[in-house]
Amino acid sequence: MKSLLVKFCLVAYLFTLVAFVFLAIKVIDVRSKCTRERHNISNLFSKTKSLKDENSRLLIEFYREVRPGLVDKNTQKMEILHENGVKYLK
Amino acid sequence: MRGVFWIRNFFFRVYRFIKPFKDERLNFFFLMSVFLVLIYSWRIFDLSYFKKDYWIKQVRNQFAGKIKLAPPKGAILDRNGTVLAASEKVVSFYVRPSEIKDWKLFESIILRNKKVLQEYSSLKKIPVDKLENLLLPFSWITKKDLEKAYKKKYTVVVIKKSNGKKVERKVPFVWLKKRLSVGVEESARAVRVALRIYYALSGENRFKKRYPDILGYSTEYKRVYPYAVGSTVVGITSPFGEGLTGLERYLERKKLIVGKSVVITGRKDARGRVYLGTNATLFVTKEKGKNVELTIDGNLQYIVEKVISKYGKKWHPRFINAVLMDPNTGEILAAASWPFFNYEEPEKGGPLTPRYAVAPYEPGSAMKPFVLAAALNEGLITPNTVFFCPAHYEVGKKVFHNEFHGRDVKLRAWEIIQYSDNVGIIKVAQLLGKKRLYRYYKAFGFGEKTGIELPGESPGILRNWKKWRDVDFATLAFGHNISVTTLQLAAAYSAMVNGGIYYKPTFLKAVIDDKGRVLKEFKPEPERRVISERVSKEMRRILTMVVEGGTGTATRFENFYIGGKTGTALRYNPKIHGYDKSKINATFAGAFPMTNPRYVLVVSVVEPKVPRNMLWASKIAVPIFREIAERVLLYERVAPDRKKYFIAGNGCVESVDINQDFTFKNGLQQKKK
Repeated sequence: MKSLLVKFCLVAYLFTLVAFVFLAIKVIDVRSKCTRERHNISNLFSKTKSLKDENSRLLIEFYREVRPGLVDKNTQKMEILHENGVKYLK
Repeated sequence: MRGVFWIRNFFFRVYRFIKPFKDERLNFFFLMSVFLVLIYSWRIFDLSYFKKDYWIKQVRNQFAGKIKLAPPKGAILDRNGTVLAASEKVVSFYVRPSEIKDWKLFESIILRNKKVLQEYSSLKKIPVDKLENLLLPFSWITKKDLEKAYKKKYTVVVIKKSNGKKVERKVPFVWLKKRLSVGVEESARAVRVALRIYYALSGENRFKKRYPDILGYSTEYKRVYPYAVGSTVVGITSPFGEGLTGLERYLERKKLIVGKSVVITGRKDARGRVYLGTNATLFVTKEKGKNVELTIDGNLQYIVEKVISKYGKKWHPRFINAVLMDPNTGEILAAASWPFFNYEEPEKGGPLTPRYAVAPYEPGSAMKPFVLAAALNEGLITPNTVFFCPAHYEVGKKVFHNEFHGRDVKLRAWEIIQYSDNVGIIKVAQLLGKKRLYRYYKAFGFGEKTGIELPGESPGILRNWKKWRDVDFATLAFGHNISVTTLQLAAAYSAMVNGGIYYKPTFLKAVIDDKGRVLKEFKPEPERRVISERVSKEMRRILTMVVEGGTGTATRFENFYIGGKTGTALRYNPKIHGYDKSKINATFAGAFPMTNPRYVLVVSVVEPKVPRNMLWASKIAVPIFREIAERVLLYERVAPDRKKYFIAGNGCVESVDINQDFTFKNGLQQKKK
């Protein structure tokens, strides 16, 4: 009985030690993942911001290129339509 | 001595009592350990309890990071989503001339000198054209900019110390070129490459420099107007981004397009990099400046601006106003006032005043339809009521003349408008009475602000009917003794032709976020019913007769019914204390297509410099109206309401007249001039 108790104690000590090490590793792993994800979020955030700025810049560039003054200038040789010269067919 | 003995004995007694081991060395070790544990425990307790605030603050400062965001202003879009005004991220380059030992080398790098680039290329085995491409953002920098920066050397900065004293300090920082429209990433890369080339070729050690960033860049936002239209509507901002005029000022005041500075907290690592959480993205989208969609159509605005510019350069008036509105909603599709500021040539300057809303003038005969509409609405007359219009008609001490050169004539009510007869309209007004006429003028929006979203709007001038003398009453009937703005006329004509409802004119359509979702919609605001639906229809037919056979025939179209009224008013000249016959206000206010109006257009030309025989609205304002109306109808692909086109059996396109009963045919007068 006594030897059984001693063996059980030994097993219990070992199990506790192993469980503690395992949980510690798990917690460290999860925390590192959190930190990495946070880092990813802030990277994503700055990338989104730079893409938005780039989108905005390209949009402005587009409207600069198609502004009516420029289109008008480039189509000066085209014939101007008059309302009595158009056939209004649906 | 006895005291010392006593203390010594006491400690020995305690020791003999507590010693757990027989071996004295073990006991000593045990006691020392206990003593050390007690010291450590006390220290931990002291740090974590008495000094906890100090250390928590230290940890927070070390590990808490924050990012401050100053979002740019939102964009101003037209009704089709075209960008009329936006905040563009621009890059400004700076340099520290006093830190640069080899200025010639630095200059050559910035100016992308091929020899220098080849030297570096052979050193690092990088192709020259790749280096040139990387340094492309510097192509905007000229030798003159570099010389100016080198000459300046320092920037003097005024610093306010903690004791309140101001101190001037020379900072080795000079702007090289400001506000360039180049990509941020390209600029960062260009700066890095330029510094690498400089340090490699000059042999300087960047780590020994006080300011290793001898060249750098900074970003800021610049307000731009890419579509280059609508300066009198959109306005401009100061170089610091504050709205100065127009909607830029109005929307900023109402906090519709400005974003809020946001501070987002996170955690910081040993290198100072900030790690944000998921809540950061929510803050950013909520606090950015919102975009505002206008009722303006950018292309229609261009059409109006181009046409009034053409006639402005031809006739050199004081100004030309044009307002194009949707009569069924009160939305303004285009509004311009020549001369105006040109976004494409900002260095030339130009006024930004929206004179169509801030500069009232006497409209003349353009007011006559309101008098007739009021009389029709009151049931006093019908469009066919006959009026006797003598050649001379006396009111008080003043004699008024009809339009028929000394002939006494009879006119139907609609003919009074067609021939713009002063005597006829005075008689209609006299039937109405002063009080009722005043009430209708107020109902049509005259004498008060329309509430348009522009600063400085004028209410015009309309005196209370109790102050009208009989002569004033008579002149008010044909648009003298009253001042109105072009915008007020447009809103009033809209009410006249749209079924009789007065809509508040507006520029704003919606507030949207950067994903295109509508955050707030500005719905049409019908303010009041002015005239009945039936009277509105009668007025549309009457106004059409002005174009069919009256003073507006120059704007008659083959495929569309156009209606409107001319107004020629002499301008009061304070120098001569009277009306100057050489200066006029020429107005044409009309709508099209008249059977179901989609557009109301009012054109007013003030003091055109033309020969005397041209000083009539039919020769000045009507051609401008015609050109704009034609362009608008074709641009919008409006179906004609005068003819219907079809493909005949033989394959040819043919047309047939429609709505032929729209015009009046029972006129009493054929105009004999």
